[in-house]
Parts: sequence; structure tokens; C-alpha cells
Amino acid sequence: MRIEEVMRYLGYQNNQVDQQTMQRVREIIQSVEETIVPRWDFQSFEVRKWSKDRVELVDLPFPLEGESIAEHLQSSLRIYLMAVTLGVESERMLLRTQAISMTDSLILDSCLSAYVEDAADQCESEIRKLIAESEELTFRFSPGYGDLPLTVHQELIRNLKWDRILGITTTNSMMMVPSKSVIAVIGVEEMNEKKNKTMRPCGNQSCEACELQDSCNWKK
Amino acid sequence: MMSREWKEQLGRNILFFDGAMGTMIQAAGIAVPAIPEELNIDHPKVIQEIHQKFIQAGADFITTNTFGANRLKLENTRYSLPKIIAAAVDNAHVAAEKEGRSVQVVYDIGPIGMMMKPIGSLDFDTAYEIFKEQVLCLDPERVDAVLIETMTDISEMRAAILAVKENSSFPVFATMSFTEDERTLTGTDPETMVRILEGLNVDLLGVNCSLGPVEMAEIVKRILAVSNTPVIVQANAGLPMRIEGETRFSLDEAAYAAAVELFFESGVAVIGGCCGTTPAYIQKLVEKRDCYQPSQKAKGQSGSFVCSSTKSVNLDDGAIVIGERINPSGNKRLKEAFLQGDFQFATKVAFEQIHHGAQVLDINTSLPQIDEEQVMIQLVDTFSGLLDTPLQFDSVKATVLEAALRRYAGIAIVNSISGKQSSMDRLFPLIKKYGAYAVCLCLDEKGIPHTAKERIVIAEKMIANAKKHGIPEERLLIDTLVLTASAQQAEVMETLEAIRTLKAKYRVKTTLGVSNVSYGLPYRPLINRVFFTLALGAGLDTAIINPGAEGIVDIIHAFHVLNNQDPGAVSFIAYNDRKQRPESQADPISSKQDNSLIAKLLEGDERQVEKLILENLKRKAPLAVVDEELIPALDAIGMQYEQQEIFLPQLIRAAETVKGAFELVKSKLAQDHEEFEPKGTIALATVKGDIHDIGKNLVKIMLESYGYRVVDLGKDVDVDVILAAIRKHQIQLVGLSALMTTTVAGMEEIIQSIRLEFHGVKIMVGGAVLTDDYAKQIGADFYCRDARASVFVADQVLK
Repeated sequence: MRIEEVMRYLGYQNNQVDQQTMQRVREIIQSVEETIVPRWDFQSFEVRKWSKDRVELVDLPFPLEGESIAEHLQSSLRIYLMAVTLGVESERMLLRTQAISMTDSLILDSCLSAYVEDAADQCESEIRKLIAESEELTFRFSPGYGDLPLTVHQELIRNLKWDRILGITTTNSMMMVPSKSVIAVIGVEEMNEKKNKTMRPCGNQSCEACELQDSCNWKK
Repeated sequence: MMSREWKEQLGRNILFFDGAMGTMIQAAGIAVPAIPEELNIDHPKVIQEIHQKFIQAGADFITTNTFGANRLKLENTRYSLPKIIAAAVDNAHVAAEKEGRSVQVVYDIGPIGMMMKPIGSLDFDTAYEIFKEQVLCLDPERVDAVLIETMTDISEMRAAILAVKENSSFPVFATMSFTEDERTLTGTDPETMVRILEGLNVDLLGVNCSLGPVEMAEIVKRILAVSNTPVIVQANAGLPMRIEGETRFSLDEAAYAAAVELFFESGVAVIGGCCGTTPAYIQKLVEKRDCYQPSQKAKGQSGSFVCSSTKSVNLDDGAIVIGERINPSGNKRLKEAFLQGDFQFATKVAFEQIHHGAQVLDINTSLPQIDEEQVMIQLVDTFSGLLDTPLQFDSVKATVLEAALRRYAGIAIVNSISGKQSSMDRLFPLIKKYGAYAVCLCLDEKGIPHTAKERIVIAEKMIANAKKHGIPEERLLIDTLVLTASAQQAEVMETLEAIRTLKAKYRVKTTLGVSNVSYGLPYRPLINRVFFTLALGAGLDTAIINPGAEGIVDIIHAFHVLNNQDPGAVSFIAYNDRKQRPESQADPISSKQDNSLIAKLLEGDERQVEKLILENLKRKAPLAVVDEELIPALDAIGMQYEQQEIFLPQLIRAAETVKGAFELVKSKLAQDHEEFEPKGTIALATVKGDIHDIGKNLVKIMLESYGYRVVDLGKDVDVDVILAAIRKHQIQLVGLSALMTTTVAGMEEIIQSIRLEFHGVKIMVGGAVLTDDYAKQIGADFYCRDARASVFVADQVLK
């Protein structure tokens, strides 16, 4: 993972990082990369029926509901559903570190966030290899963005067996455990149809649908 | 095969399970509902035909279509749990009748779909209840066994096994899923799984799903090598491949059967299939039945293993250190932490002992002011899945020991049982039920005997009594009792004599609480070291001791060399190398050589901070040091943070470092028989539904660094817990955190509940999705944009 990403999660913006923090970040990155093996899985689905507030997929017994996901997939006839996780060991590392040092656990949390995004990028590039040259992928759209409900987490986990394959589960409030997991919907579009939208540096196309609002470090 | 004859067949003939229900449903040409268990009622014929095909293929056991038939997964179905379960069992019977062959109907249980504590939010008791509900729906006349399968968490597996065993008399088959790295997704290795499952006395154990037979081969080999229970294997049809949106598996029937042959030969007793295996796969396997005399499986490996969920420790592997430090009676800080319901400090003590070389940790929660059982349960939950080190539960209360054994996802040691009849009657059944080890004290109704001979008489009585309960002597750790040399000098050697005699005559283990010997004498560490060395020489297997005490671990390493337990002294040399290496000190030379308190706090240099504070304490009153040194330094650091000269990691590092300085101030006050009065008490909680608590923990550190007492209620906290804490600690300020929009709604409800019951309690909120406006909307008094802001709020509210 890139150290700059970790620093961004920690709130540094091109500022000079003190030596202690830099050294700890390096050490913790190393132990994360040694200890944790990211796992991922993805599967493609044909779009059966598109309407402006839901997308139905072939072989998926429930639709993806909401205007924002429909907009996201408006030019896609085929999509990929992907899940990435750092596994239970990432949670153990967090719990252990919290008991010993909050400073380290803060750094570790940022390292893990950067690491799972890294893994999501790798998963996405595997998907990219499978599409035609004339095709392009949309950005990764996750449950909780816009009006795509978080309950989709649980439905996808059960139907795509991500609980068995990857060990991802949800809590009653639909949060994923392990928390360092990503579930996302990626649309496949014909290249020429691709809208010339400006991308945010995070990969999202706008900040409106995003939960982070003022606490986003990209916006700062 | 006639009903219940399978037990006699086991080991004489290889027996066969069916294959994949899910794969067959998908191929059945009907729309697969989100809840496949509904098909039992909506399309019974489809399910019956699947069963029939597997029976035709030759399966001896057929599995009901109930993998997800639990309260949580069936939440959104129109049918009740009993109805679905009854229909599923009926379908299996209808199929068997149609085929005219007697097969075993096995009720299938899959995972609940939530992660257990401490990583997830599923509580052991809740998991148990969810499984129990299913078991209570089963008709003993119509179900021959229960299969608990595809489990990845040994803790959840235990809850399921106990639910079946305590609420029925069905045989239990237990299988877990492993990944290519030969562990389950939650980190359990095959040997540890076998030991924990055998501890609960299951009838069949093994592995299923996730991998094909080829990838599984090594795991199966490892299981067979240690298991004394018949082994079952249900592999997938190879590895899944996604072809044009469809899942297919890499092995066809012939290739699958060829790969599975290895299991026939190596002593697997029951074979079936998992994902991707159709009746054709099972038929190919059954065809091979007669080609094989099921090879008599070699007896499982011996050894005396205690286990956490992720690690086994062999008590036969030289002298084992059982860390004694998690005991409030000898540790004031720990006592305070227990009283406050704070378990992080205990975790810290645990890690320190492990760092020093403890291989097992003793946990004692005896404190008159607390609910010992609750604290024990909390500690077991906190440590489970967090520590690799197996645990020893230490209490005089049988209820506390039972609560701990019940929840612990491992093989524990119970400390202790005495030779009193009442103690044995109460505790040996628990040892048997949970497959635990027991520390057996050589004392009885008449007290501690003086001589080795008399103590051995008691030990022998206990060995015999344990045997009556079905507990082999290898599971007993006999404590021949250490008396203090200052009071009973003549009896010190009797203790060791008893160890020698027992070790010569029995296969029991021995244990001692070593440091008792020096009580009342000066230079205790020396007496302890010498006695410990002598005890090792007498044959001591385990010592309950402080591994951080000087020389203890040294002695063990040296002893292993002299006792020929460390071939080539390899471990000893490595240990010596580690010791010689100076502790790597992250002590980069700062360019300015700034030795101010601020600089040292920012660097996290605890030793220099300590030095500076001690100097100050010579010149100033303790409270003046706080007001004139510590707080101004923290304020200055806070300003640097505001101005983005430093960032969050440094702010938190400084706050953590200052805690050590506060300890010095506190102990100085204690010397003067004064107590440090916290500036006020604040309750913090991450609200129900939210499990992200790093923000809350940062707030806690900041508040504590400013001298506030924090009652940390944890994450995923119920409103009732918050209300109770406000009442109990007379809280004036509550801090709530939530990370997700969905849980902010819950925050609003909590605020309303607090307002209803308490007047004047102020509430501050924080979390990624909150804003000042949003905080006002939900009725909070203060919004904290970061951890530091909480200090301003506290200063304002609690001034």
C-alpha cells in the first residue's frame, strides 16, 4: 500500500510528518502486509430490467433498489458485484492494538483502510481484464451510497455466499464484519456511451451521494 | 442399512452422505427464492426428488434442506420456523419411502450468518438460543442425527453443539470449512478443531465445503493424525470457476472420485459431497465402496493439549508457564479496572505476560464488590479470538467456572478442584462435559496433610474419582501444594517428594503455585527461583507464576537444555540472542534537541516525561504539577493541532503519554494519603448498531489526559446500559458516537430516552456523518468535530 494514502487517512495533507509517526506508519504497514491476506470475489450479472428507481438482474432473486444505483447503471447491460475483505485477522489486530496503544491503533486503522481500498483496486483490475476492449467500467458503487440501502449488504452476502467464501457477515444494523470489507456494484458500459463526468479523486462522481460530507479528507 | 445401524457400520464400511442441495436446487429449473428453505413448503416435490436422486445414487445419509433455517435468516419468510423444519424433515422421509430404502435422515444446521463477539456482535447465549429453537422443532422419531456444517467460527460451532446436546439426544456430526492456508476463516487450525470438538464429545467430525478434495487433502491428513473420533469429509467438486456468470466446478464426477480415493485409503469413515456435487458424483463414490476395506484409522496422536480457538499448547512440551497476573487481589490497577467494568487493562496485563513467556493465562476475578460471573464472562468474551494463549479459569465458585467453560472457545484448565467429596461431585461433571483439564489440590475435608504420602493418598482418590466420571488421568494437573518456608519449613520438600512419586506412578500432570514458598521471607525472588528449579527437577509440568519475575523464564530455558528437552540447545541459544539484543528504541535524534515537556510528550518518550515530572514533583505539590505543567503542555499541544502544525497521531500520542505522568502524580498523592480527584466523570458509548469505536476511544484518551474519569460503555451499546450508567455514576455529561447515517437515528432515540429520565444531563455527539446542524436536529447539546473538542465541552459542562 502507498504510504501517502495512509497519511491521507490520518489527516495529513502534504504537511511534514514527524519522524516518530513516519517510522510507526512504516512499521505498521509492514506488519499489516506480512499478516493480512486480502481476499476477494466477484461475479457478473446481466441486467434484466432497468427502471429509474430499481435494477433487476438475471439470477439474482432481488433487485437493486434506488434512484442512485439506477442512475449509476443506466448505461450498463451487464454488471459486476464484488466483495473484498481483510478478514477476521484485521479485526483482531485492531482489538489487540487498541489494548496497547491508541496511537498505534489509529495508525493501524488508517493502514487497513488504505489496504482494503488497495485490494478493491486489485479486484477491479481483475474484472477489467475480463471486459472487451470496447467496454469500460463505472466506478465502484457501494450500498449506503445515495439511496442504495445498506440491507443490500446482507442480501448479496447470502446470495453470493460471501459469508462462506470470504467470511463477511453483517450486524443487525447491516454493518459489515470484518469492518475492513468493501462490497460494490460496478457497471460495464460501452466506451462511447461513457459520460464525460468529472470524477472526484476518491473515485466517486459527486459528493452528494456520499456519507462523509465535511469529514472527507479529500475535500479538505 | 437399517435405522441406527450406522453406528455399527462405522469403521467397518465406508458410509456415504449425499451431495449439494444448493447446486441441485439451482439446476431444478425453478426460480430460486432468496430463502431456499421456503421450497420445502412451496415446492416439496422438487426437494423430495433431489433427496430421491441421492438415495438412488447410494447415499446412506440424506441431509434436510435446512441450512439457513434459523430465526435470523428466516426473518422475512411467510412461514414459521417449526413449519419449515417439519416440512423439510417430511420431504426427506417421503423420498426415502418412495425409494423403499432405509436411509438416515440428518437434520442440517448451517451458520447463523453473524460474527460472534468480540469481533462481531453475536453473543454466545443468543447463538445458543437460535440453535436451540431449531433443535426443539425436531421429532426424535423422525430425525436420526444432526449435522452442523460449514462452520468457520469454532465458538459458533460450540454453541450449536451444546444446543443440540442439551436439548436432544441426537448424534452430532460437526464439520468446519477451511481455506487454502489450512485454517478456518476465523483462524482455527485442524488439530485445534479436533481437540475442541472431541472435548464436546461429538460423534463424527471433519471438514466440508470451500475446497475441493485435492486442496483439502492436507487438512484431512492433519485431522486424521490427531482425531480419535470417526472423520467425515464433504469436499466441493473442485474449485469454483465463474464461466459466463455461472458457477461451475473444476472436477467432473470421475476426477472427483479419483481425488477422493485418497480419503478412502487413509481412514476417513464417512464421505459425501458439498457444493457442485450432484448424485452422479455420489454414485461414482459409492461404486468404489467395495474396492476398499476401510483401512483401520491409526489412533490419534497422544499429548495433553489445552487450546484457545487458534492455538494448541501441549502440556507435555517441557515446563509450561501459567501466568498468574490477572488476579485483582495482587494488583490494585486491575482491581480498579474491574470495578469500573474496564477490561482493556486486563488485556494489557495479558499481553505483558505473553510477551514474557506465559503459555497459558490464569484468570481470577474474585472481588467481593463485583458480580464475579459477569466479569468472568466479559473477560472470556474479550480474550476469545484476541489472544492465542489458552486460558485457566480460577475461582472458588463453581457457577463462575461453569459460565467460563461454557463460553470459552477452547480447551481450558479449571483451577481448582479439591479432594473434598463435594468439590469433586460438583466439578468433575463439568470437566467431563466441556472436555477441560483440572487443577487438583491435594487437600480434603481434613485440610492439607503434612506429608507427601498423605497428599498422594488424596491425589489417588481424585484420580479414581475422575475416572468414574470418564476423565482420564492425563487431564488432571495435580497440585501437591506449596507451603511457606517461613512457617512450615519442614514441609517444603514434601511437596516435591509428592511430585516425584506421582510422576513415577501416573500419567497425571503436576502444577504448583510457586511463589507461595517465599511468603514472609526477605529476598523472595531468590527463594522462588531456587524452589522453582528444584520443582522442575522433581518433574513439575506447569507452574502458576509471574513470568515477568526475574529469572523465571531464564530457568526454564536452562532447564530444558539440562533435561535434554532442547536438542542442540537451539531454543536456548535463540533465547540468549534475543536477550542480548537491546530493546529497539524508536529514539530518533530530534534536530533541535528540544527537551521540554511538550517535545517529550509529542515524541511519546515516556521515560523522559517521567523524569521531568519526578523533578517537578520534588519542587511542587502534586496538583500544582498537574495544573501548572501537564495541562498547559497539553493545551499548547492542542493549539498546535488546531493550527495544523501537528496531526492526530501526535495529539493522541501526547495524550497517551501524559497518562503515565498522571500515574506518578497519583502515587505521590497516595504517599501523602490523599486521593486524586478526577475533574468529573463522563460516560462514553458508541450507540447500538454501530461497531466502529475508534473515534470514541480517541475521545476517551483525550478526556483522560485532562484528568477526567471516563466510564467507557463500549460499542454497540443498548440505551438501557447508558441509562443505568448515568444513574450509577451520577453522570452529568454523556458522549455518544455513531459512524453511519443509519445509526444516527438510534442516537436520536437514545437522546430522547435520556431527556425523559434525567434532567440536566448534557449530551455531546460526534462521528463521521454528523454535523453541527445535524447534532442540533437530533437534540444533542454539543457537537464535537474531533476528539479535542470534547475536552472543551467537558471543561464547560463540568467546571
